[in-house]
Amino acid sequence: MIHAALSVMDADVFAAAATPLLEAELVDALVWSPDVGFGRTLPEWCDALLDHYAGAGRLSAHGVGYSPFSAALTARQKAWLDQLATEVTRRRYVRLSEHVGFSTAGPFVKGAPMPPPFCDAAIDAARTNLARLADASRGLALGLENLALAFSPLDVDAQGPLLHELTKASSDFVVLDLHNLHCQAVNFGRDSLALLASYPLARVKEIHVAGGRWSYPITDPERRAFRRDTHDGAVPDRVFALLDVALAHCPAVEMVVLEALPVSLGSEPARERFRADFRRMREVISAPRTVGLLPPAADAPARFAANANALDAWQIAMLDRFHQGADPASLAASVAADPAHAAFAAYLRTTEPRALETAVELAGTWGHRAGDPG
Amino acid sequence: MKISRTLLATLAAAATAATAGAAELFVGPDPASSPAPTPVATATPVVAATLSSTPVTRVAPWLYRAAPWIAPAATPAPTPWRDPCPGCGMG
Repeated sequence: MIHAALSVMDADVFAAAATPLLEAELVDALVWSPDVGFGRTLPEWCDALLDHYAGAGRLSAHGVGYSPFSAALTARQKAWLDQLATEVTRRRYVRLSEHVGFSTAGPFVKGAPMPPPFCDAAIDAARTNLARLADASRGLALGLENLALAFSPLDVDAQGPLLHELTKASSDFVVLDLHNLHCQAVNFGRDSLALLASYPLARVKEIHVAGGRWSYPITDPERRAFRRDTHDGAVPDRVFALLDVALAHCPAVEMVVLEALPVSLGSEPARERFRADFRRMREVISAPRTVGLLPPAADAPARFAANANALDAWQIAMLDRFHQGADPASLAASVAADPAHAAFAAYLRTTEPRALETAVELAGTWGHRAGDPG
Repeated sequence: MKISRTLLATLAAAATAATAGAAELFVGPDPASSPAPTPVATATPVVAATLSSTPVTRVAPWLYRAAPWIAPAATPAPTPWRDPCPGCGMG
């Protein structure tokens, strides 16, 4: 049986949105980001709800702040792992997942996940960091979620091979976020089904669905719409269609999760829309389906060589540019001009200013350097 | 999955608090008696560039905790009647 699940937000508006679904016994499982609760006291209802599902073996953990692709382990990550180790002893999770991407490096201690370049050092770093995560989680099965943001078409084409490479152990799994896949497909003109075919579908245990919105990067002379994974809108029809196809091709799926941020649940019509999305998700899960053929996946891009120190320096340089609000049109060239980042020069030439502009915006909102005020 | 009446009651109390808070959120001019909003012209590239390069205030830390990768556009404009946020009390 495939469970219909909700991603829990510790805001009362989430309780208002979810209670009718919970009361109707429609919510089979929950996903919780344990690091949201690090160092905080959760609302009583939230703790009780998580404990109830944990007790029934229906609670999955989905970290948001570890940064598995950071090249050098920082004190912040060590503290994060310590807190996770404590969390998994007090609440029982069935598995644990994190995101593809690096969000922190050097002095940058908070941020949004950025796409890792498809190089040996990034894969090695992720493998090492995931092993640390496995130790801290005391043996929970580990999963990785595909990322929404890509700097370059190469990032889009490398995501599937990256997931293949990092989920080889029998207990490893993939969190297939269909809105993220939709973002990459529409932003870089890829066939979403061919992109889906490039992922290790036999490894998918969780599928995420969500809504988002469009932005219109000013560095794009064509002013094309750029899809953002903002979790604040209705789930697009296209994502529901992808869910139907994905379920036919992912034989190991155990649950499908609806994600929405509290900011999108502030009115009763919005909460009703959320519930309608959940009911539709349940209908798609239980609908009969036939397995059609997927189009062939694109060829995997070549993986390039870079060592860990070079990757660490590159990650810091990129986060620094993003943090400073550098001009996206010249950002890649300015990094590539530094001999220290020579290994990344060819990759940087494939990045697109409209995507880097998005990264600058994200860093401006969520990025934080140690020692900065606020 | 079935959940207990006690847990449902706890959830319902939080839900009631949220919806009551939301009712207080939008205390302001009666939309019916307010003039229609002034149409906003499409921003020129220069204006848009200026807006885009304006440093974004680091608002809504509760949103960061929930999903650090969300776009700035998802952050509601801070207004007096939205502080503190009724969802988490953090504004």
